Amino acid sequence: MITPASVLTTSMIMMMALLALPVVTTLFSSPMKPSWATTHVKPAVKAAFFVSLAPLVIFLDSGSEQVVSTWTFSITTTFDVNMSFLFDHYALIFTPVALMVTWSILEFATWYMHHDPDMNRFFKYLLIFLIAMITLVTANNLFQFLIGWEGVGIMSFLLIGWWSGRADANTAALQAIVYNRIGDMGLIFAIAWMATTQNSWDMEQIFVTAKYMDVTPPVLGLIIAAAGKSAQFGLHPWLPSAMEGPTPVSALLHSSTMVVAGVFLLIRMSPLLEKSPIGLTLCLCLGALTAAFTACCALTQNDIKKVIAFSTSSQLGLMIVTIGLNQPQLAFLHICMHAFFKAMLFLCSGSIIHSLGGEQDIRKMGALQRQTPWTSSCFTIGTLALTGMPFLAGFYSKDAIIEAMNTSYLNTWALMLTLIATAFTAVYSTRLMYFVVMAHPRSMAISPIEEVNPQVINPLKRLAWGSILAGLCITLSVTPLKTPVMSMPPALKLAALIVTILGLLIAMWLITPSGARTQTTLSHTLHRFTSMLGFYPTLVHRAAPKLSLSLGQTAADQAIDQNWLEKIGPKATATLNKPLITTTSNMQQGRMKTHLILFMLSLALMFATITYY
Amino acid sequence: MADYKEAPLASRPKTLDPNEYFNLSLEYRRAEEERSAIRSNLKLQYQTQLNNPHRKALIEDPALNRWMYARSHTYPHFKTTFKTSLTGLLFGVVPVVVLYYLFKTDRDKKEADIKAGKYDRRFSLTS
Repeated sequence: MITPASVLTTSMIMMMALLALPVVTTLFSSPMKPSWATTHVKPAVKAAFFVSLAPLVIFLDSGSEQVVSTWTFSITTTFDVNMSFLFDHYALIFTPVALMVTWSILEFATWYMHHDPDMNRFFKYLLIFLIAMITLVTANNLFQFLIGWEGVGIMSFLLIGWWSGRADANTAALQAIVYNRIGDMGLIFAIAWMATTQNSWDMEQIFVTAKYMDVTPPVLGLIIAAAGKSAQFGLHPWLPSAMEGPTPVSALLHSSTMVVAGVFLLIRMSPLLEKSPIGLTLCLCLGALTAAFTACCALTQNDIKKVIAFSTSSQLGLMIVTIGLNQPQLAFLHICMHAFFKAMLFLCSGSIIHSLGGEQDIRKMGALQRQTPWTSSCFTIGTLALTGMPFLAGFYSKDAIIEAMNTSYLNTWALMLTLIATAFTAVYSTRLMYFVVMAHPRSMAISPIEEVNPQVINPLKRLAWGSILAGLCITLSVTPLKTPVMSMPPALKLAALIVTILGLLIAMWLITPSGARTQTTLSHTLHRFTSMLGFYPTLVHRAAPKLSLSLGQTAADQAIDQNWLEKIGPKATATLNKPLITTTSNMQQGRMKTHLILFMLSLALMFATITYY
Repeated sequence: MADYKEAPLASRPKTLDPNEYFNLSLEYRRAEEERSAIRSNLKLQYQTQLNNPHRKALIEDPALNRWMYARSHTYPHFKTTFKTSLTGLLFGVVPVVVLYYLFKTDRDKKEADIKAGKYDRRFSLTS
C-alpha cells in the first residue's frame, strides 16, 4: 500500500536513478549528440531536484525518516556490510539544496563552457561527482560513505585539472589529491578502529556500542579527515589552488558540496564527538584558527576567485567551530545556507570573468554596476548574505552560531578568533564589492559584456531567491534538536552584528579618499604575510616532500637496498665462496684423476652426513 | 641597482651580486667564456634536434641518462666508510632490533600476566 514512508523511499531511489541514467547510457557505443549535455544532463538534474522535493515535504510534514538496506557488499559470519541508505533529516534537506544548486550551475555551465569542445565530458564528470556526493550524504555505513568520499576526491582531481595543458592546473589537481589523501589516512584509521573494536560499519551499531568505549582515537582520525577534505588549517592550501578549474567546478565542488563533506562527516558522527571532549576542543580551536587565518589571507588577494575561495575556507572553519560547540544541526544549517550564496558568488564571478574577456584580477575590474546590473545585484545579495545581513540566508545560521558561542562556557581565544574572522569577512567582502562593482571602470574599454542570455540570468535569479528565502524557510519548518539559549545580554545577542558593522566601517574608512587612502605608509610585514598566505605553502610544499623523498632515496633505496643488502647478501655469498672454489679447482691442476678422487670424496662425505643425521 | 636591498632572511641573487660585475680577473673571464662556448654548443645541438621536421623520437639528454644510470648503479662504487656504515646501522639494523625488543617484551609481559591470571580480558565485540 502507498504510505508516505514508501513514497519517500521510492522518490529518493528514483532521484538517484534519474541521476545515474545519463551516465550509464554513455557506456553504450552510440555516439553522443553535441547537445547531449543540454538535452540529457541538465534536465536529469532538474527532474531529480523536483523529485527530491517530495521526500522533503513528507519529512517536513510527518518527520518520517527511512533506512533502506538492500544489496550486500560482503557477508562474513561476524561482519556484514550492506548497501544501506539513510534518508534522515540531514540527507533529506541537503539533497534538494544540492540538486537545486547543481541545476543552476549546470544551466550556467551550458553558457560558460559553450566554446569547449569537450563540454559533454565536462557535464558527465559533474554528474558523476553529484552521484558520489549523494552517495556520501545518504550513506548509512562507513563503507558506502568511503565510496562517496573517494568518488568526490577523484572527480575533484579530474575537474580541477580540466584544462590539463596548463601546468598550474595539473599542480593544483595533484595538490588537492595529496592533501585529501593525508586526510583520508585519518578516515581509514577511524574506519579500521571501528571494524576492530565495534565489529560494524553501520552507524547505528557504532553509536550504540560507543557508549561504553573511549572513542578519542577514531574521533581524532575523523577530525583529520575533515581537516583534509574541508581545508582546515594545516591542510588548507589546496582549496585556493583549486580555483585553477573552470568556474562551474569551483561553484559546485569547492564551495557548496565537496568541501562540506568533511563537515558532513563530523555531523554524521556527532554522537561520537559528543563523547570526546578532546575532539570537541580540537574542532573548536582548529576551526577558529582556520576561520581567522583564511580571513586574513583573503584581505590582500587580488584574484576574485581566490578571495571567494578563502572566504569558503573561512566559513568552513566557522562550521567546524559549530561542531566544536556540540551543535551539529547549526553546522548543517550553515552548510545549506552557505551552498546558496557561495555558489551564487562563484557564478557571478564567472559571469564577470567571461564578460571582461577572461580578466580575474579585481584591480582591473570596476563599475560593473551599470554594465552588468543583474550580475552585480546578485553579487551584492550574495555578499550581504555572506556577511550575515539580518534576515538574509546567512544571518539565520551565522548569528545563531555566534550566539551559541557567546553563551557557552569555553575557550575565549577561539571566540575572539571567530569574531575577528567575522569582522574580516565584512572587510574583504566590502573590498571585493568596491573593486568589482563600484567606483570607476579599470577594465578594457571594449569587452564582450552581455547579460541577455537567460542561461546566465535564470540560475543567478534562482540562487538569489534561495539566498534570500532559504534561511527563513528552513528555520521555520525544522525544529531544532538542541534547545538554543533564548535569553542573553543584548551585547552578546548583537555581537555578530556589531562586529560585522565594525568591519564594514573599517572597510569604508580604508576606501574613502579622505580616510586611510591619504596615508601612504603601509605596513609591509603584515601585507606581505597575508598576501604570501602566511608563507605556509612556501615553507611546507618544498620542505615536507623533499625530506621524505630524500630520506627515502638516500637511506632506504641507496644505502640499504642497493648497497648494504647487496653486500651482505648476494655479494657476500660470492666473496665467501670464491676462495673455496678457486682453491678446490686449482688443487686439481686440470688432471682428471685428481678431479675424480675429489668427487668420490665429497660424495662419500655427503652420504655420511645424510645417513648419520 | 646600487640601492637594492634584499628582503630580511633572503639571500641576494647571483645575478645581482656586485662581485659578478666588477673586479674580474682575466682567468675568470676566460673560464667564463669557455663555459659559455660549451653551453652554446650544447644549445645548438639541442635546437637542431628540436627543429628537425622529420624527427619522431624524443630528444635524449645524455647528462640525464648519465645521472639516472649513476643513481641506479651505485654498488660498483660503494665503499664501506664511517658514514655509510652509520647509515646502514641506523636505518637497517636499529629499527629491526628496536621493534623486535619492543614486541618481544610486550608479548612476554602479556604471557606472564595470562599465566598469573591477571590479564584483563575485556568483552570485545570482534573477538
